[in-house]
Amino acid sequence: MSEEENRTPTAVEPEQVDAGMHALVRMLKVLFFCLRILIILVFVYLLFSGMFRVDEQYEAMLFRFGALQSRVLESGQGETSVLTSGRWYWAWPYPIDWVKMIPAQTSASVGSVNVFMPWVNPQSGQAPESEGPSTLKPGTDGYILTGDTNIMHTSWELVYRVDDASRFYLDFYDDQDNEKQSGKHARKRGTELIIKNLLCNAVIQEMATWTVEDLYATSRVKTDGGIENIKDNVQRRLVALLDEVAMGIQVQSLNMLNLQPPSATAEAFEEVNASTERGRSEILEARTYRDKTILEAEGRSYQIINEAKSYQTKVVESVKADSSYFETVLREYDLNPDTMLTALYTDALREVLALVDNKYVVHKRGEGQQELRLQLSPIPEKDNRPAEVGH
Amino acid sequence: MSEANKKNGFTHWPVVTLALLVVGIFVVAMVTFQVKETEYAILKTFGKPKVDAAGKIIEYAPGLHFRWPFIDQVWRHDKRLQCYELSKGKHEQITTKDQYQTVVSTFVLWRVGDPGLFLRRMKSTAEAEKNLESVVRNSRAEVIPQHNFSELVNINSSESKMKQIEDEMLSRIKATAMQEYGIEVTKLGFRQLGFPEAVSSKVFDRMKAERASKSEKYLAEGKSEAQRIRSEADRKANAILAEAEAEAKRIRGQGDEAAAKYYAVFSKNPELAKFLRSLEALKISLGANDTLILDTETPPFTLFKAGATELKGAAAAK
Repeated sequence: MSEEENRTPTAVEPEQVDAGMHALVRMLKVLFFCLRILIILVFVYLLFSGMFRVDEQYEAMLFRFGALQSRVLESGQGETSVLTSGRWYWAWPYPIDWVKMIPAQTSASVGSVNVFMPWVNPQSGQAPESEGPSTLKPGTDGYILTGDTNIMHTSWELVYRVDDASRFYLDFYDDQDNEKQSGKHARKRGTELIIKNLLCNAVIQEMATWTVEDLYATSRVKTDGGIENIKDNVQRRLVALLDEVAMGIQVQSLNMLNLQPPSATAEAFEEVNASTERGRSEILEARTYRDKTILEAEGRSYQIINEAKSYQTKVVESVKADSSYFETVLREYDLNPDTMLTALYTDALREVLALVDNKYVVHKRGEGQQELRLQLSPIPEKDNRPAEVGH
Repeated sequence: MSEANKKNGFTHWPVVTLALLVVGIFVVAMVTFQVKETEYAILKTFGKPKVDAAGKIIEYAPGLHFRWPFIDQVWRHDKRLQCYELSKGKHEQITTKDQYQTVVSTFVLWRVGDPGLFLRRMKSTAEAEKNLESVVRNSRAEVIPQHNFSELVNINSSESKMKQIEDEMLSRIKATAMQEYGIEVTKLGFRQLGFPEAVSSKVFDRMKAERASKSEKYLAEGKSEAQRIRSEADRKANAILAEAEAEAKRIRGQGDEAAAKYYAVFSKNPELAKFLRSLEALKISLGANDTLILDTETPPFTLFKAGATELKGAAAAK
């Protein structure tokens, strides 16, 4: 020990070494001083590197020597193993402690595009031909079978959120862990694949009970008369499957992105759509005719009834006026019949003569027939000249 | 040790501490092993799993555990549920009970259920999946031929038994996988369901024929419905007009009835009434375009006759 200590630069007596040795000693002193500083800095770094914050989008779990750590909740609600977001925590450096961040607050999505859609050569860079391949190859082309044994292509998208971070991570394989060990091309077998397969399973099971027409309409009438929706039914099945395996995720939305027939039958489907549209158009025209006809009939009926009412008023008032007039005339007539009759007659004749443009007065020449030639038709032009009197 | 040496030793405490720390970490790393919360760990001494007094393989709980360096080896396997979509038998053609050719694709969710047995029987996850595939394919080949195609695909939800078929396959797999390989299968489901490639072209032909039929049907239904709507509209319109005519007649009748009460006054002098009505009719019946021919016997045109200026009354008075 003492011999070893004697070998250290500080143990060397300055008077026993030459100038070069002095320089070496000074340099080693500086180096050791730097090393001390470095060690202190490393300690300080280790002490503070354990501070970490769980971002708003995440929840975290702290593992010490691999075991999940729990902490007591402040409000005396027992223990929790989940480190909630938006707060600071402290952990020992790896490998004593390590933290797993779970994106629990953000939404993630899983789609079924490759499973139920036809294979398209990515090299072709062209849209599929209208009359597509006459067959579909299992394993290459995806599709679903409908309840009426038709083949359809569809794609779905599920948006979900992790609502139980510990269950999601501890009970289900995490592909990120696998990627760290086996690289980016490691085969997927974790949560994303599980959710995708459960989604596909729900879609297959539900669509296998629907007809193509109902799928196109996205809804159908139930046996009890209610309406059910394909999206809701698939979601119900999916939620049941997720509950069955207890994934700890919450379905936020599920959407059918696409539903299309195989390209080989697309034309036939389009023809059905066209016929349906033509049928609808016929019905629409008929409804327009119905509305027009009924409205016209209603209008005509109002007219008929109003004419009748008008007639009713008119006939009553007219007769009332006539009777009143008659009584007045009768009183005068009883007093002086001839004068009254003559007055009435001449008044009437004056009115009539004033109305009629073409008037002819002929001399009566004794007994027998008298010839009179007049142009009665066409209607003679109105002449402003005074009426001629025949002689 | 001299005072100077003691002083120097104290002066170098960081170096000593660092050295001790490094050595300590190295020693701890050699004699301990960590078990993660997400994995099973078993210690193997010279390749043999460590067993307890009852002869059962010891499974280590999550945390830090002791081991003899170089002697003990740690075997680990993820204990979480994972998905396997099968490899060779990913898409397999199976004939149903009613002789339909179907192509099915399934997935299984599995985890290590008995780590000891799994360790004994399996070398790796790949081998486990290979054995699992064999079990799943056997189960599929046994169960599906016992069911009609209509139990897989049916527009009547109550007759569709896809879920029951899945459960039937799962129940067969579960026992075998656990007893033979220590694998716990928790879920089996269909991933895809279809027809062989050759059959798909026949299906397309049928689909086209069905679509053509539906096309005609929908058009005919549309026309039929349109005709029904039109005839219904005509019927309603006629009914409305008939009702209106009936109502109009009733109103006119009421009017005539009311008017008849006033006609009674004409009975006081029917001749005068007739005369007045005739005058009224004359006024109404003639218009501007009519031609009126009168003779000089008709007053007041008697004035055109000779002696019209002599009044009969005046002459009589004279």
